[in-house]
Amino acid sequence: MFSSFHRTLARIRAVFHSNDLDRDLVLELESHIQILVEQHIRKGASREEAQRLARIELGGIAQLREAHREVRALPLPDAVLQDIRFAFRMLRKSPGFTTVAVFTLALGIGANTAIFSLLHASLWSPLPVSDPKEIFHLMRSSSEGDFAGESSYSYPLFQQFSKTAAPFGEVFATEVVGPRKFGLNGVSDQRIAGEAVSGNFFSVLNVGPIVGRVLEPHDDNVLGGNHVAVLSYALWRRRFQADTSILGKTILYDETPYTVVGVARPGFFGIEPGESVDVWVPTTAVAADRGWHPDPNLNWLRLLVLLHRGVDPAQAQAIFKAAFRAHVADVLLPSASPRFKQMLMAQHITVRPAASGLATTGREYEKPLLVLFAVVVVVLLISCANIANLILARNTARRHEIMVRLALGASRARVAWQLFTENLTLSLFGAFVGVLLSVWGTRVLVSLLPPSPVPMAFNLQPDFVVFGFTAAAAVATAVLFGLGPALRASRERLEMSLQGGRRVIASAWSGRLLLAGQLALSLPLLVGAGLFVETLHNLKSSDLGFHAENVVTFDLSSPKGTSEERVRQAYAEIKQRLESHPGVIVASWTPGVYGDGGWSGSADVLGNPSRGKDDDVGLIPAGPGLFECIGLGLLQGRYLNSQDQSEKPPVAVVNESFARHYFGSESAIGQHIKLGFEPQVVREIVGVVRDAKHYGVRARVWRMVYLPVWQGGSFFVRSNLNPQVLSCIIRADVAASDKVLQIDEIRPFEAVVNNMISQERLTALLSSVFGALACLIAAIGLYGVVAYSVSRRANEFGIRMALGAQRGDIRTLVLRQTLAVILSGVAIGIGGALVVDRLLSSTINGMLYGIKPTDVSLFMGSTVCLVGIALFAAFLPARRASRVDPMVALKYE
Amino acid sequence: MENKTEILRGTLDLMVLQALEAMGPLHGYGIAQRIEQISGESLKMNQGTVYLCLVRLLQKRWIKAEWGTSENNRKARFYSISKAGQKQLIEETENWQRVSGTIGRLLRLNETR
Repeated sequence: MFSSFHRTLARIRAVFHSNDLDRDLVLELESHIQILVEQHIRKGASREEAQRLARIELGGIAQLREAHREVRALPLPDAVLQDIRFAFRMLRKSPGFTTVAVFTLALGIGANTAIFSLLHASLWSPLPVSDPKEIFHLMRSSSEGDFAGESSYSYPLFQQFSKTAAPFGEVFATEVVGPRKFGLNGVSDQRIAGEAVSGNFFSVLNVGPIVGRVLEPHDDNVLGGNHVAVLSYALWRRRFQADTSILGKTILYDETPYTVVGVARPGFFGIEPGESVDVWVPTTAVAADRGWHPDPNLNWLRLLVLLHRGVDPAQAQAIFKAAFRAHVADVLLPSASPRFKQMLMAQHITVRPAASGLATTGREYEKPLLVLFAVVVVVLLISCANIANLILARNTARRHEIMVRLALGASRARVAWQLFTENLTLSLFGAFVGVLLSVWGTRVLVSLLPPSPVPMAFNLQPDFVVFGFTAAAAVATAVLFGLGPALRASRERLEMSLQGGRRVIASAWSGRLLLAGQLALSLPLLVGAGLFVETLHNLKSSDLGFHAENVVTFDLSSPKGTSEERVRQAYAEIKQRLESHPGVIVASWTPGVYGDGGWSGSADVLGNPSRGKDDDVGLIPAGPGLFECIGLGLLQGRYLNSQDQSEKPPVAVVNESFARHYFGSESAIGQHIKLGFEPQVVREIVGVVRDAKHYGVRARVWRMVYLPVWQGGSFFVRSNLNPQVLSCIIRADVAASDKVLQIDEIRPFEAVVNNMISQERLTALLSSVFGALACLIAAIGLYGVVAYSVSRRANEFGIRMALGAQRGDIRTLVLRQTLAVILSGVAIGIGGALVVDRLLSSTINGMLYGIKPTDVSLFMGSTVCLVGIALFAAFLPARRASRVDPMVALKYE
Repeated sequence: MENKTEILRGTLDLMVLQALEAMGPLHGYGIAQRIEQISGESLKMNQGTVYLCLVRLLQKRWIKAEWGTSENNRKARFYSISKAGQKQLIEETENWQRVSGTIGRLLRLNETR
């Protein structure tokens, strides 16, 4: 239709000629009135009478002008600008309200933005490559689940998969990232994250160089390896000040020289969000140096595949599955042990989308972050309810102004829109402050994550997605808190308010509803926070079986090619030197006494065939004095000592669980066992120690065998010295023992233990903070609403007191009325909290620890706490109400 | 009240076009007068409402406007129907008759039952 097209154009034009058009209309209307007046005079009316009649016939000029403007022009530009200007003026006029509202909104929106940007950075943002959607992770899975981060493959299997996938995609490999030594001119001086990648890595991901070249397939196809390296842009800038002369120079990576051939383009950090890789080298080079290359039993590569467009991932999965089966049958099974055979047979391949990278770091935090996201959304809802309440009260105060505007010809829609613009302005302002808060908040959040061996590099620069989210949150917030009050205010009945001026209006009903809603939302947050805090407490106070206090630990590293004998002697010497200091109680070493991983194997008990072979035995090589050092209690027999190191006769110490399982009520001391990895050795059990949780608080207690075999590893030192003094002693002793050994970092053992529950600590801390925030906001809201209604009812109280009510009666009246709101809110809240409790303990399992289902004391505590806070918030204005002076209140009216 | 304006919007356009078609160029007062004459008491409205209708029709280019002098020597704006307006009037009239015919039949049908 041309006509509507013309009309739209005309309306747009009209926006710019508003004044001219207005003048024209006024002219027309004036002459219209004149004609009417003359007619009435002709009929015999007086001039005044005629003018009155003419105005009635034509209708209000102001309304007409306003309506004309709305019909002829777009409602948008000029009106909106005017509204925004007006909104700012109104907000400036009531700084108290504006500050409270903006601050509440900023907290709500800021918390949402912070959590969202973490989720976005760690899990949801696509890899910085050209086709992230076509990238899939090849995962080894079994009936027990995916091996997720630990899905690794041997080099021959990688080659097999590459061949299989050739028609429909391209398989590429990366090594599991770890921090390694790095340096220039033959001296390693820092640790960086490096990654060994297949030659097609960069071409598949379509990542180009900024200088030089990236790795190419020919770099990776020579057995023995082409020792070339590509640096990350970040490292190039940081370490080499973006100097192009680095090309062709030799760097040291993991004590091996590589020639730098190029620098990858800016923004590429590898395929693991949260970790930033700084150097890439060919897999073949790394494998050759470690002597790994062709071994089909050595799994060290992560495999990904870029599927060509249109290839069905399910079909690809089927093909990979078949290829895996064939490889297992042909290559692995013939030499596998029976148990290993069983494991292999149960495995298959899953193809999982990896558009956002492998995200192992992110996934670890996915659950807590999602829970926190839900929490902050609820906090934002509470803020919304709060501000809606404030605005309801404010609009009541502004009733007169609104009425005047309606009377002067503004349409109801126009008034509603104007009020909404004010709320939107408020909300956008809150969002702006919120973003500033979130930038700071996100950094705090990341600093709360446990220190990771690889530098964390979440891309926390707020980008368009995050800004889009914040903007959407702000608008949604404005709609939530602002639309209702705006519409409500615009529906006021004209006649009523123009006559009365200050009558008490029934905004109380929706206000109470909002209050009850806030309390109902706060309670589940409190209960949830309580659950997380209790979990953290349970984890912290749960008995690990050893004592980490007053123990420090440090790792030693030596250059490649240092003879084992030399290192061994150095260890013994360091122990001796350390223990010679007064204050140092005992020092020892072990490859790993706490944390992930660990070593397991089978044990055979001689002369007790009935129990058979068992694979589930944890093995820990323990240096002399280790038990004393970590405070692992002895139950029977003796600890390991330095004589046992000589291995004659071979001995072992077992734990309680082991002893109970194999020997029952009999004594384990003097029994003989044979371990799967050393079939020729028979060991005599010389001691039984307490059960300890070596693999984390949540892990089960294993049957353990502690061996006096030499494996090097980390040092542990128990002392009652000041940590700084101890550090100096350690550094001096290590340097004095052997110059080739380097200390990496001296850490309290407690910190290592605590790191294992850092996720729980983060969840508990943040959910408590947000729970408290929610209560605070709800309390402020309650205070505001009660205070407002009390001030409105001042003369009612005055009358009551004049009629004989005591101060206490007034206070009780206000509190009783508020208590009804509080209790109804809390009652709904208990329902919500029950749901949260159920959800946390079942669906999102693994987040809680040692919590009884529906902990009554927790529910009671939270409820009492919330009701207490709410009553306190209501008490202050109630007390003020009771101090109303009847004379003043009545005179005022 | 609100329902009345809803009905008005469509019919008023048609009535204004019809008035201009029948009477030639008219100013706002003339149009209002004409509509009141025809509808009598059945359509009570502020005369000013006509101007809202006129600006809409102008913008759709169904009518044209020119400044001139009124009978009592005042500056007034005279409106006349355009080609497009005439076409629209024919279309709308047919449409209106069809609808009102249908509704009329429907109402009669109910009456006879």
